[in-house]
Amino acid sequence: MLRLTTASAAGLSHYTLMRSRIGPGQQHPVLRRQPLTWLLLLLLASGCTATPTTQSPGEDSDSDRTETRTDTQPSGQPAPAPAQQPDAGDATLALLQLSERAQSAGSLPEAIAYAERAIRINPRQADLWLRLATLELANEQPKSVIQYANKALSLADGQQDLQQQAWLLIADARTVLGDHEAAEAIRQRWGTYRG
Amino acid sequence: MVARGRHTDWCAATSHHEAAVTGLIRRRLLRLFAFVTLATGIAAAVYLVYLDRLVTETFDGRRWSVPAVVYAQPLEIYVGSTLSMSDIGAELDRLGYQQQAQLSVPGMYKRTGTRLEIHLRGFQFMERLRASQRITVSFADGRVGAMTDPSGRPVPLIRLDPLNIGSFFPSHGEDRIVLSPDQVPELLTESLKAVEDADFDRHWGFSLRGILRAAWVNLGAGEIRQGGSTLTQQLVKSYFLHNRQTYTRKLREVAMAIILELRYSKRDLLNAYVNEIYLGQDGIRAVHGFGLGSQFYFNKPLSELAVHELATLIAIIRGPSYYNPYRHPERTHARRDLVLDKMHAASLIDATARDQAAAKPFQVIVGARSGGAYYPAFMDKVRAELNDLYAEQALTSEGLRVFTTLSPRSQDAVEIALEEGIAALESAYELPPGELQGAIVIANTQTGEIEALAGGRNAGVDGFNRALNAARPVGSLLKPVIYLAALERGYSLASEIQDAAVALEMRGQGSWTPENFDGEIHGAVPLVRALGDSLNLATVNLGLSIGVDQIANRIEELAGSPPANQFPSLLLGAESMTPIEVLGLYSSFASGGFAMSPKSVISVLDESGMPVTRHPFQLDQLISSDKVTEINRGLEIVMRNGTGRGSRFSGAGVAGKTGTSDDYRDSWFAGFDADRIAVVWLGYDDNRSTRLTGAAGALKIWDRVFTRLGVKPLSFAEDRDWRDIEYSSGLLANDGCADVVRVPLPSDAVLQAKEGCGINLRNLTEKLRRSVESWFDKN
Repeated sequence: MLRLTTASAAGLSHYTLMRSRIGPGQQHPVLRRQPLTWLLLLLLASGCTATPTTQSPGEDSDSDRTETRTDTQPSGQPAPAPAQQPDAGDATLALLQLSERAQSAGSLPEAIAYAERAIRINPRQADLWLRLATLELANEQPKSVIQYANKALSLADGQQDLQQQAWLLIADARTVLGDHEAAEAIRQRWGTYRG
Repeated sequence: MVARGRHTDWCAATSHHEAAVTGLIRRRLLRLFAFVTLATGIAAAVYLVYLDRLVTETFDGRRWSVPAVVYAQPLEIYVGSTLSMSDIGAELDRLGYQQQAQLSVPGMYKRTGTRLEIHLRGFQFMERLRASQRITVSFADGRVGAMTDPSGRPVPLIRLDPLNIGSFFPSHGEDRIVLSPDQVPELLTESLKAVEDADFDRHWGFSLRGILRAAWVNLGAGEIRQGGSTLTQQLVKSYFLHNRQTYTRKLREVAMAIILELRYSKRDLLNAYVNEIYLGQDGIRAVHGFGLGSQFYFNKPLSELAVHELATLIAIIRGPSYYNPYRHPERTHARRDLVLDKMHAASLIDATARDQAAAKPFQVIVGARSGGAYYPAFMDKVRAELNDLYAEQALTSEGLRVFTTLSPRSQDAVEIALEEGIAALESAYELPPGELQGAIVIANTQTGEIEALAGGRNAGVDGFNRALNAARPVGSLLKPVIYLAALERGYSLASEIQDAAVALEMRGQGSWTPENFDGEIHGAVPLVRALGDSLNLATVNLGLSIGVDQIANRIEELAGSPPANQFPSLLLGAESMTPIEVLGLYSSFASGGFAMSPKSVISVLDESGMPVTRHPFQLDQLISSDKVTEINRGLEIVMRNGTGRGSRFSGAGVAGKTGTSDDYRDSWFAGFDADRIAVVWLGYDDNRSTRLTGAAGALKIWDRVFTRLGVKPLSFAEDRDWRDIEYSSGLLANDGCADVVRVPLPSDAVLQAKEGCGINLRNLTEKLRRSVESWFDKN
């Protein structure tokens, strides 16, 4: 599950501060005026967005020696034989973990950069778009949230759990945008939060 | 006597008077002198204050004036990625990595069997510093099979350093990569002193001996030939004095040098020198500083230069045009060896190192691609995107780092495909050689990120960028929008539409009577065939029944801007678009229904590594999942059965559409597979006929691009609503028919059972069997 700690809240303000250099207009006015509502939403969102892995990143993936590494295989053992189709699974998994870790450490821009990198490697993996949508919700970009959740929906063929996650993210984004009716309708259809 | 007396008197008087006058003059002179001295002193003081301000302001300001550096997308290597050893090797070569047996320092790699060992350079990415490290990549079946670190532990993915593809240097042309003192090898700074200014650590900015020696030489020559400059003076000259030397300028130079010395530490001055000094010219771009000089001449960072390469750079600074290693290799070689001798004389290198370095061949990179790579057409797009967000001054001076979407591998493929493909077409169609032009843009289908862009057949030339700026009639490229609009209004790929004559009265312009390409009229045809064979009359009838305004609206939604033409001729593509606009339009199909504006910038970081502006993926879902599946299948059938069937990827799961404008002035093709979408345009700049259809011209170039990059077939999730229909009639078919296509249909689509091919074939077989039997009966 996605951890929401005070650290990520700090990351939010840090990024908001940084983004003030982007210039006015890019941040939704509602968000700027109502930080408390916002945090509440964040907490709600965090409850429903499961990341696809319970594996933890390798102990030393933070070290300077290797950029990204997971201990998915015992040391010294040969890698599995290549599958018929290129398998980017390990790579995107490692990036998802780094993304989560960056968010926990309070750096939203880094977390987003990792998620985008994962998408570049495998742009047809629905859960990666959901991860990015979740981060954009924390980043106060509800329109991006809707875009990425829709993308995930178009890729989550028949995967109910991913579809549910995507719809609930859209509901959250709609709420932020002030479209409470639409948000409520989605929540009615896709049930309550799991968490 | 009298006379004498008088004379004496006079003399006395005169001498008396003289004394008075002299005293007066002396006093006046003294006063004048005092005044002049005072005035001069004041003027000099004012001037010095002025100089001081000028020097300090410029020096402080200059230290921060760094053009934005632009990087390509770094190559991601992970287990399972479809990269061969030569793909990665080519990328390492682009980055200036050297093949060596021993990977002693970063920037080296070696191949052994199916393994590639790389000693990566460190690089500061947005997320974090990727420290210098060693990695082993093993290959199997043309893919990355495994990656390990030196202790044998598996590594899931690693990024190579990104290729530097240029910088936004200001209009005066100065470009540089700024290095901090700790990034500059001590051997360089010590050697600079040894060769250029042995007293640097002791003098006050000028060397009296040097000036006198220079004056002697210059007097003899009758002109100023020798500067006799210290490093500080050279720095002053580079900062402030660009014109020919005069003696007053020389004085000013010395004064400024002294001010610099008083104001700043030796370390600061030496570092400024390393970053400032002029090292060569590349068109309008002036190469300044050793950081860029190292990239420009050797395509690697300064820290990786060998002794003989450092000596070459030091040789060049004495006169970058006189010691131009490309134009005057012998002369520069000789000076390099002289520099090596001086380094040895100053005990900076021992005799063995000197001899080894001197034995190295004199080499700089051939066909210098401007200090890294040179992709002017792509840079135009980056500049256009950033110009909306940044002032010119911010881009040229604030040391920004711009990370872009460019894939050097795709870019190379695109450039070669275009150049060779156009030459092949000119030869095959006997067109005048060297005149046909073209453009290609290629992007990722899911993210809209531009992988490569060529604005003309000769990509190395920074000229008119046709990919971004050549708006040309698109012909049949607009047809898919009309068919999409039809599918969205209840038609199916199997619906029957009328390919019938059209005559429209146009106000004041007579009547408009479009024709099919083959001049025939085909009558009732299924929608899938009208699209596949690009039937003009069927399309116009369909478009008119929907409404030209409706079609124009849909084009506006998908392409992002409204068509200029709002008349029925819009239906046949009498509308000018640039290749990148066409890419935007077709991305809506290729992405699975999401409109995307092709983008080239991933992030912009400031000097401290913080992002300055956001450049997120933008994807608006504008076509429903069902409808985009239908239109994409239609576009795949274009390639399988229709105008695209001449492609070498005809049955390989790619989708696309040809376009040809009136009189064959423009040859277009827009097509995609699962990963990439590419738009190709061919034509003449003066609008002559090319004599090429979209299929004969642009499609052939597109084929070449995808041959180089490989094809990943589109995959459609087929469900129960997919049916086999006959391409020519649209009727339900069976496997026995000759031209069957399998298409997704809306669940409420009503189809007539096919009574043609399959049944006929059975009848034929039956007849054949009977006649054979009767023949046997008779004999």
